[in-house]
Amino acid sequence: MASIDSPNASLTPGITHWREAMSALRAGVSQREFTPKVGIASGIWGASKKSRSESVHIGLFLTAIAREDEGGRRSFIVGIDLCVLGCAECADDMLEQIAKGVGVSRDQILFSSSHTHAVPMPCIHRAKKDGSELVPEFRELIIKKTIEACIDAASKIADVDITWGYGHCDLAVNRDLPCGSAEVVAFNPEIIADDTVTVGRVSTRDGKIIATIANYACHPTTLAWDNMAISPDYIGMARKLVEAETGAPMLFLQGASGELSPRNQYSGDTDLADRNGAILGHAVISTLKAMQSPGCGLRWNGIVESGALLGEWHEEKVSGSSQAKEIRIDVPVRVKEWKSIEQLREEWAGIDADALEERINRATRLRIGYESGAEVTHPVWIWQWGEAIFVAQPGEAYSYIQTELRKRNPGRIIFVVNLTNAPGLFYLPIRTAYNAPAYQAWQTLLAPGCIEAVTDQVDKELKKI
Amino acid sequence: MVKRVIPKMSSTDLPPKEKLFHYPFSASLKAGVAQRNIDPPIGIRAASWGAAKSHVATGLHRDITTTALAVLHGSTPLYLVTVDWGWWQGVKDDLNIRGKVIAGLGIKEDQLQLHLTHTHAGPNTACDVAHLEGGELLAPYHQFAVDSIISACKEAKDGAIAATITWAYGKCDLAVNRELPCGEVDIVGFNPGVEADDTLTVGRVSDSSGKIIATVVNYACHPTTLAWQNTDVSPDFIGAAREMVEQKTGAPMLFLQGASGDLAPRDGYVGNHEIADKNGRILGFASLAVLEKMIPSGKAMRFKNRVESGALLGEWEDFAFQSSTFTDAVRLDIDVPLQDLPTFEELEERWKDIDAGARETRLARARKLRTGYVLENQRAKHPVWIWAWGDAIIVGQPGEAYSFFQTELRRRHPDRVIFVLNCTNGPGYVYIPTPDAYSRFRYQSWQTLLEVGALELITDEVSAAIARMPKSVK
Repeated sequence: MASIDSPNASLTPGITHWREAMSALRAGVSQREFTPKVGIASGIWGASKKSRSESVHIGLFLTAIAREDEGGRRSFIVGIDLCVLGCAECADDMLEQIAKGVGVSRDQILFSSSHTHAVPMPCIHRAKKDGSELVPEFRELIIKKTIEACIDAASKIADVDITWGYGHCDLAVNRDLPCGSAEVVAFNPEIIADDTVTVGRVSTRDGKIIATIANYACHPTTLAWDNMAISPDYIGMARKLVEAETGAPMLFLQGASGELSPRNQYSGDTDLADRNGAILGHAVISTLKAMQSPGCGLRWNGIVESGALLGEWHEEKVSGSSQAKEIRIDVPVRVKEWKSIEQLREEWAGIDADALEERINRATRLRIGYESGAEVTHPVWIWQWGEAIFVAQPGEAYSYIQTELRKRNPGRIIFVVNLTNAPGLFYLPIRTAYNAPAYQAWQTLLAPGCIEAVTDQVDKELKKI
Repeated sequence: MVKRVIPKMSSTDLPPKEKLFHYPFSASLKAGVAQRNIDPPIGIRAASWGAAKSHVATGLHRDITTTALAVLHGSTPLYLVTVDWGWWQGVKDDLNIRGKVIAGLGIKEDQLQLHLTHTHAGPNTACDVAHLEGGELLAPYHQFAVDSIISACKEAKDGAIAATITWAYGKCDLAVNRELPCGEVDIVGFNPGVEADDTLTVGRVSDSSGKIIATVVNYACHPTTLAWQNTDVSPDFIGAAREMVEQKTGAPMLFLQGASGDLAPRDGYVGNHEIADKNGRILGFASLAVLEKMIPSGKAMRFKNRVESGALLGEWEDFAFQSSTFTDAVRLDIDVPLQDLPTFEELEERWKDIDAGARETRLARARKLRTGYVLENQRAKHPVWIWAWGDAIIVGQPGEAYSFFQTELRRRHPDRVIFVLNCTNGPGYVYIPTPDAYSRFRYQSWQTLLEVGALELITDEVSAAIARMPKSVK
């Protein structure tokens, strides 16, 4: 009800239309459960006393979003309740089979693990433990359900609007704690953690929400060595809450959480995982609620003479950008001069035998395809979907990459996703982590400077978009 | 069975001292809470908008409530009371309610912070409009509200028990800046070009068993979702937010309006209740997220031990600790400069071209504002109540301060949790704007009586008073 007869009626702001970052795409979504049989070897904790899972806390899910460009080419983002894909060999095989089954090239799928630590590792090369016999079957299930979900998502492709936004969540804390002679992986109250949560809301043209996307950086390590339940960790409850609110699947993408974790963690209590999930779930819903109606922005409607001189904005139907570009870059990085496996075995000789074997196995399998001191490349997929950009890579990058990319590109919505595709399934720590030294710095194969190199190279690409 | 090895810790295995413990902001007090519904009758005068065509309530969107939190300061009860009403127009209206509550409780004025949530869809608080449509229902309703507030305060005080309060900050994206440049002037509307303060301050009051008995939510955002098109009484966005939090916690929630002079929801000025509820859910979910992250009541965290796993891990554990029992209650009367105020004739001339109804509204407001506040020599005493409850400071004052007030106090005192309340007690029911509001001739700068610089002066005085209060030692 603009006051059109008022002497002030002609007052107009400099901007008369406003909207959030939005995309107008052709996309479809599908979700599948792939909870393995109870009894499978689950969890990846060296400190675990048992390997065989005893129950299911919340089922495991994978969610696929398919996008189609004008030429009919399709690409997929898949978020899955896995820790990592296993060793390089297992990861490679799984990704190959999935791409083949979906009928696209490997670079057309971003296959991203949520990083829950309370699931079986889909790797057949780990030390044999109770319940390992069920792992091959589990791998097959992952591949089958992922292919199914991708094909189903593609069959549902339609015109959609996506609204993008940043919010905040206080679940994560810093987990690099100086402790005597080394840094331990534990809550460090002195360093403030990045609290950014990045959210997308996918809706049909008639306004029905068909999916949400949530990108948040926090190690799903609530459940640890005392837990024997299969669980998506905090992501389970977060997803339940968001899906109950929206009536649509939520795709979770783990952010650059190399040094971030929940404050309350390393527990056997699934209620704690649910409480951590509620922190994220409520934060995501709050961000979703703050968005304008699907497919809508605001337009200036005029002034209103009241007790004060007021200005009205009304919702209007708008479309976001449908520009899309999907590239892969391979960033040159250097492998560090590493200690031999024998040296490591000697160095860790004093620790618990199971923990030692877990570390040796991890180190050995991680090195496949890499040589000490060599120049290698680290792959990064940069996908522009309208007004949002997905930056995904296989490693466990520190939050530096996301805070830095968002700081250098303030007008953009940037999803930064760890643990996506392969190879390169190791940490990307910041330089100071190598000095301490932190766990992440001795786990990684890369020399100091890797994350800075990746960040700079990605930033250059973002500037071209 | 493999035994988990927990190495014996020497001092070199421990984190540095400052990283060994993590204490929440908290308080250990005697506290009680009570809530009352104070829904007004349909047909009551509810005139908040000059642009409205109807000034009486035709229905009720959500319950109007009052909630009282009583905390003992030594043997003296302090009452923090919130009411789902809009604002006082003048001292007479304020004292018509607050004066009677003080008398009814038999307390001193400074024992009560009577706060209005600032809904713009509430029943009128004025006591001199009985002659206007719906005005005849105000006096009995106001008496009902006074009785309800007194009864809630008594129940809260009589039921006060040993309680632990955990305080925390969070964030909420409901509010946007509402000062929109339009040519030479700024109007009150969403400005996408300026970022709003998103701080959300939350308190969780628990009994000795950890059961939540109340929550306190302080957020700065004008409850102006519902506007001239709406004719139903409503707490605005506070209603849905409160419902969500109360359902989750099973305990009353006190909402306290922050320093929102320049802040409002992006979606506002509508008649649609669903938008008010949607706005409320933004706040409600954000508040629940803060409550979920809090450490269990009465607990702090300490480093427990190192654990050899795939990596070298460190465990923390909760432990019981004694929260600060410190309380304090201070009142400041800050000497503030006033503008060179125009005469009422000059105001009439200034507004001669606008709609007659809107002009009368503005003139009546201007008259009532000055009474009881304006002193000689173009000065006023602006009252501020500062209460310390453990690690939290509650700063209440009657004006509509800009968010600078809260962001600055919080910036200067990062080691405390600071609740900042507008629309609390009186007199001084005026905007407290930043200097740029004066230079841009905004509504807030011509509504206020205060001279440029008053906000900074008040902020400095309050900050100094906070600095004088002892901090808890961990």
